[in-house]
Amino acid sequence: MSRRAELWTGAAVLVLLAVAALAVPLLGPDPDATDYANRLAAPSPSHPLGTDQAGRDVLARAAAGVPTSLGAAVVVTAVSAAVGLLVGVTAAVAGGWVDTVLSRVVDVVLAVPQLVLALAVVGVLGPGLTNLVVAMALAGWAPLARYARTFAAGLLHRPYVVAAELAGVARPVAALRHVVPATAGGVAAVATLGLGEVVLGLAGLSFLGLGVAPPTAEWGQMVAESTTVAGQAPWLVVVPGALIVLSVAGASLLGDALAREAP
Amino acid sequence: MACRWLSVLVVLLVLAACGTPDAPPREDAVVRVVTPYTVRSLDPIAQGLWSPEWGYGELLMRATEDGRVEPWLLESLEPESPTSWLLRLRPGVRFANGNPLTAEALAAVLHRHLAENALVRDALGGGEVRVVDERTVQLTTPRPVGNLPHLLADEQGVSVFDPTASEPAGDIYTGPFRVRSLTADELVLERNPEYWGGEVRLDGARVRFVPDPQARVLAVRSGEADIALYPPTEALARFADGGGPSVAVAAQPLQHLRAIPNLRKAPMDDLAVRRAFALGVDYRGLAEDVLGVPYRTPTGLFPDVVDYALPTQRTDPAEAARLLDAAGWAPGPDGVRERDGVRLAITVLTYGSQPDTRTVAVALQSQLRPLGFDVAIASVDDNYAAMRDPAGWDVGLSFDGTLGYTYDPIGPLRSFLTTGAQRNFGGVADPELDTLVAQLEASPDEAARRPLLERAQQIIAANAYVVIVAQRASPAIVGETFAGYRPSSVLHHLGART
Amino acid sequence: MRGPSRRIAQAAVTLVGAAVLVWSLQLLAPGDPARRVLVANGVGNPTPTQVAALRAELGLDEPAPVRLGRWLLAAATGDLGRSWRSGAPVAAELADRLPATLRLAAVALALALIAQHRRADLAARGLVFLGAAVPSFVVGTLLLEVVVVRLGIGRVLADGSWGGAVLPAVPLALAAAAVWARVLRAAMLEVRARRHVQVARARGAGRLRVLLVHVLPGASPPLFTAIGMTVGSLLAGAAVVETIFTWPGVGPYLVEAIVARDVPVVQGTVLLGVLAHVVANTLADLAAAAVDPGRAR
Repeated sequence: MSRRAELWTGAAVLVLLAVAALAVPLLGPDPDATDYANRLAAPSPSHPLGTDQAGRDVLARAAAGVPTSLGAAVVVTAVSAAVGLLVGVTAAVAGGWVDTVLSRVVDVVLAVPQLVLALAVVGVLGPGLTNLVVAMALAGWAPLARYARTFAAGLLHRPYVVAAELAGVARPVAALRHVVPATAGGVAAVATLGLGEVVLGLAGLSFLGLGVAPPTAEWGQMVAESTTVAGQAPWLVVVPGALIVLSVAGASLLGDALAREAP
Repeated sequence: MACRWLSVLVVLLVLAACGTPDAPPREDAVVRVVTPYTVRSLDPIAQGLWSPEWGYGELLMRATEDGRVEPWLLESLEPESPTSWLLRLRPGVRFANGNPLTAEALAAVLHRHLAENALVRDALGGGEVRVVDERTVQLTTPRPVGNLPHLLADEQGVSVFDPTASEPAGDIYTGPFRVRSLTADELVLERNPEYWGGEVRLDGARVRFVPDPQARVLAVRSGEADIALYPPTEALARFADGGGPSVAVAAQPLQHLRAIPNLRKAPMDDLAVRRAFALGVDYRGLAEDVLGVPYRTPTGLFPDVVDYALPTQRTDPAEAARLLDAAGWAPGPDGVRERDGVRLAITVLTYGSQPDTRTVAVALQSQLRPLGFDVAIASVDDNYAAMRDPAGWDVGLSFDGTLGYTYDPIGPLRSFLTTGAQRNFGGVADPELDTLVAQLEASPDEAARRPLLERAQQIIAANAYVVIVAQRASPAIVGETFAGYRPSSVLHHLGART
Repeated sequence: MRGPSRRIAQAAVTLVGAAVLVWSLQLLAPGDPARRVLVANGVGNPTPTQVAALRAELGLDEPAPVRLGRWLLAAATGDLGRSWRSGAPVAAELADRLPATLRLAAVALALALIAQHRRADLAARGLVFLGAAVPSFVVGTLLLEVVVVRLGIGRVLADGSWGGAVLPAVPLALAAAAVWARVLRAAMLEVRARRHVQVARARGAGRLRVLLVHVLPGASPPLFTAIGMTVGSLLAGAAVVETIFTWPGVGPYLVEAIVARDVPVVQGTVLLGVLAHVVANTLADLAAAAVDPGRAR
């Protein structure tokens, strides 16, 4: 796919999801409205994606899941990117022992596989959406820090930076003005690439019961609640699953396009 | 290109099929059961509770399917006085290893339990055991223990085993089965030829420990198991129609879902709010529409099987609204009631090991909204730990029977509703109720207890100290080969008659 | 050789650092662990004396660095402490369950490798892309329902055998295969464009020879790195897949320990995952260096 097509497709998918998250609650039924007489109903005109075990409209719940599932992933990515950018640029610009110490710390964190580290953090903090976000952010900043350091270190040898230093501008100021914005762009691209993985990770941990508490809608947890009735009502598994796939695909396409553009 | 895909697919399917189980040989009548709880060891004190459940061990008394408690390994249990009992053993009972069950053995077993079993220590602590003759033992307790017959029927109480055995093994118990092997995944049982109780129908049983609820249901559907215990409630609806596996339900609903109000915190410290809550719950709707089979509509603290049960619970939203109005809770702009600027907002606790608490909490949310309650739901992993903290919750949902599995009303009353008791999470402190429970414990006579139990139920209902929002009889999913199996109401899953 | 031994030494230091990190996480934990242990073992309402006694027994009152040092030394000899729920040694419980997970991981890796030997065309690439996006628990649940129950292939109650590992391995393999396919394809394209490959082709070398002698050695290093990284993520993937298929491996053990806040088990299992990850990555790096020493790092 051409870079342009990727960019537009990816962005379009994510925008579509965001629009659905805003529009469906206005047009459709309340996602928390139960209707026990109408449980596990197949898709029909009144319930385009059917109903779940409590008679709630699946379309409404799926749309309500966007802020939780996708939104949490965006928060995790943003926090990881910010911390990674800070650590990486500091290491590259300061150099010397600061760089060595920070790089070793990053190596150590990278030695623990991301999801495993997230599981370990949840293991001590306990389940819950906030704890999950904290855990995944703690697990996700290190690769971005390494990327930011490499990127920033490369920039420091660019002519315009060297020229600024020769002209008497102090190193930190040169860094702020030149290195940080460019690195931020690179980090943002790589982080967006990882957004899909974060969505999958959050969904997986929520599926295991370590995430939100019901009845908050979250896609991974909706699948977990529906495994026992998957035979009768397969749409309860397929719909949240498809939304996860859409989010991951959209984020991957967008991230791919942004990464290709970064120098 | 297509053929390459096809060949890969075929290879994969063949490999997967290698893992398909063979159909079990049908000459032996061996039942395959899947259950979520693991038998960790054969230790008679620490893990003794499994022995009567799976039929490889027995207790002194047994709870029946029709609400009574009768002697099992005992021939008779007689009170000499409120603090002294005579336990007479059945003749001719042997452990699976051949040793006889004598009064001396029983005395030794009781001493072991008094020393090492926390439940027995709490109930009978300081008790003395004396051998009277070769089949009789006398038990004297420091306080009157009126519910001793029920205590001796408790699986976590006095499990009977051979005290001369040096280490836990499969043959130190009595029972229609004995343990052939126990691993981390499975308990294998075979018929005990020495069984005193006559013929044992089954040749053996394989009990597989499967914590995942979906897997248990699928195992019966795919024919890998005959009986799935503790099935998830929402999976039961599809087995209603004929053909294939079916749902079997026990006779008595001994599992009760308590809604425990937190009396130590507003708004549940207000009697009017508690009573309005109790009147606002649609019990019939919960049992029939929301939960379905195997739930039944609860009418009071105790199920109908016991004759002293009073129908103290009813649904009357109009009366509930009147109570709230009279107490000064006026509806606010969004429908939620307020008093002195405080909203009628309650947090309901649910917990992960019982997913039905979640279903009930969601239903309560919609049932109580029209009354002006704003219900928030909080999910914890350990509900007891969460309820011990007086902050953070207003109504705790908990599956704790009011009769236990031994039809004993007194133990649960003491443990949940007396001042300062271990499981009195709500903070109930009612002197009249405390006195009643003490009197109940002191009277072994059933007739004398009845008026006391009725008075206790009235106090509890008038103050809404606890509300039973759901009652359930144990369900099981049974395959076609064992379609006649009916789950036990008292957790005795396998026996001589299975 | 200085290169490999230096690399191994670095890996060892990183491993120790990661172990310290894993242990230190429990300092974030709220509440009193001694109280939790007592409650988990059935003591309904622990008295302050009971809690204090258990704290002394578990050594919880000593300063953190002392406890850390003790745990590290013990872990180096294979003692990972005792589970707070069952009281059994964590190392023994892990050893019980590890073979099943290893079997599952081996089958998943094999499946993912098999999936690479296909000429890329649009359909295959699309499928591979999808494979990376579909969550393993959705694939697993649907596989269970459709293949096992309805078609009758395979079993619901897993027994940890090789044959039974095929179905659970599929969701695990899907994600890995997608990543590897992308890495391999990009690397192969890049290498094919290199001078020496074009020269070889121009000289008339056969397709297979070009592939084996020129392209694969150049393309393998990124693939090895990708494989190394995948091994680390397999533990987390196994947690989900093993739970769905009731596979008697390490995954459900870890998840149950997390729910029960059984810290020694979580620490021990995570340490095992870290060890596997570091070892796999180091081996991958060494292999990459051996195959294509001219590669710039």
